[in-house]
Amino acid sequence: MLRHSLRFVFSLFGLLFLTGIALASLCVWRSPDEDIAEIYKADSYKTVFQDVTDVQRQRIEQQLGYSLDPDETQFKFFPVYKGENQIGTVMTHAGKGQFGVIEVVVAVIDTGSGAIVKRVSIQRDREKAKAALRSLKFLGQFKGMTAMDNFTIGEDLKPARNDAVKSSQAVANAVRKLLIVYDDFYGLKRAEIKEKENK
Amino acid sequence: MNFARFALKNLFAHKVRTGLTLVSVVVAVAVLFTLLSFNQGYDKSLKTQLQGMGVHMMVVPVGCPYEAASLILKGGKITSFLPASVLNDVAAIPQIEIAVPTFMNGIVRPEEGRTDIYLGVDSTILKLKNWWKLKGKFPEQPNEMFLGYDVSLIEQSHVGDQIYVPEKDATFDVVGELSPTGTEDDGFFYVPLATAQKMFNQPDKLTSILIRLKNPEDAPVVAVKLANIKGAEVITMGELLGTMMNLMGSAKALLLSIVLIVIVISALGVLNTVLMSVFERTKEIGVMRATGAGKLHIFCLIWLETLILSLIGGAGGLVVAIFGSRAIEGIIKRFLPMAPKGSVVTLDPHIFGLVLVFVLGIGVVAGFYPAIRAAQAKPIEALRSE
Repeated sequence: MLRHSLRFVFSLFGLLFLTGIALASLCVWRSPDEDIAEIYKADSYKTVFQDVTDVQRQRIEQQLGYSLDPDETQFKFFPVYKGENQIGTVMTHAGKGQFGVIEVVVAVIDTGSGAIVKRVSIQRDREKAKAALRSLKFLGQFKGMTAMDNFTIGEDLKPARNDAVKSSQAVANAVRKLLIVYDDFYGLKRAEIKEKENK
Repeated sequence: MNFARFALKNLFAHKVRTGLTLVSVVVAVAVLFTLLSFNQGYDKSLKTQLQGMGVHMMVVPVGCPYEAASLILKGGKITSFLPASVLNDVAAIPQIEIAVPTFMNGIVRPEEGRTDIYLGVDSTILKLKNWWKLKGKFPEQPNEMFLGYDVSLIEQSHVGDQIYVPEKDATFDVVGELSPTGTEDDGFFYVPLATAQKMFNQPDKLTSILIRLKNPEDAPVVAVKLANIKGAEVITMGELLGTMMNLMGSAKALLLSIVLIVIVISALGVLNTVLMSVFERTKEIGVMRATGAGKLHIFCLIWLETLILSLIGGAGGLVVAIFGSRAIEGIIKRFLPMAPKGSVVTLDPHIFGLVLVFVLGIGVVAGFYPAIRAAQAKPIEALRSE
């Protein structure tokens, strides 16, 4: 009993200590309750932290075509639930725009063979083309896209405004990165499980 | 007779009860140690931060000088202003080495749950804060700015980038960024003084003048001279520190009271455990007395059990405090105003010793009554008991 009690106290302190460190480098989700109700008509969500291994990092970077930021050692996923069923996942990303940071919220549904975009929204920015960037005309283009699609502004997607190509591309890059990361964490794991089952 | 071995055997005969009592002592000691260490580090850190500003005194608008001064130090929206002409009167005082005019104001960004603080300064600030490491250059044009370290991280903006302020429809070129200072300076957008005044429609107005004296001992003389300037109030860093300490005093007292309650509860837990043990062992104590053990032997045995409980709990509490002080500090900081950045808990050997003596003291007090009661048991009555 004594051993258990002590173990509990130490674990509690350890958890608090580690949580304090882990939260440091991540982009927050600013209005989760409103978002899940609006996007999924859902009532709850969880927060899942996933550490990126060196192998995963290499694989993700190879697919992205550029390096992850040095502080991107961990990703945060928000699986969304209706009742007890998971009906989607939300991810957030803070990236450099044209006039400061742009925080993007990407809601996806899992088709079984990877994630597809359900909705993209911007929760924070200081862009001149703020209204155009947040418009359905621009963000609606991402609906249904997967990690396998092309995300080049001007070719595959239209910019929010002609003078906002850089910030439009920043949003597109964020969506693509999160789709690739999601598929690497969940798509690959699922494939591995299936492979083991088949064997 | 080996008292210590006997006492330990008695304690381990009731593992659950002893374990739970130990946990309560561990928690009380861990919280007490962290709070005392935090308290010491907090005061030290605040003094260091104020001294580190390189400012001996500050001229602020007439009103509540302490409120204005703390807003200026921590960053905030200032609602009253000094006429810019005050700077000439201040600079004319011969004992003053540097006088830096500043204009501070904030733009609330509700969607981000924060306020962007813009600080208008001229290049004299670089003389005042001569330890600053500025990457890039100081703004020379009205549309140039440099960023505090935290701001450049949050905005992911660096030298060569642009920052747009939508609320003012103003675009700035980022020409510099500060290396981390560990102070509130990291959280500001720095723009030229005239630009800040224009942005917030307060031309020829200042929010404060930061002053460094040639000789800090001249502060009282200079304060008298500054007090004669119309529309201005002067505040020295010593006064400001005293006011801040008073403000924090009540919050600290509340925290300390909670910890003291925890300690009293854990002391009662120790007392209860040992007393229960004495009641259960009445017959055993009777046998010991009948076979030659004196009152002092019994007293020492019971007292030793309490001391061992306190000592093990105290040592465990200190170990938990060493590893968990950061987490406990995080919780304490939520209750204290103006908490300095970063960790302020220092593992001071004096506090270490103090807490250990304190917990042993509790053991001595809590164990006294059960020990006396056991020692006074009459052998015949004790042997008859069920």
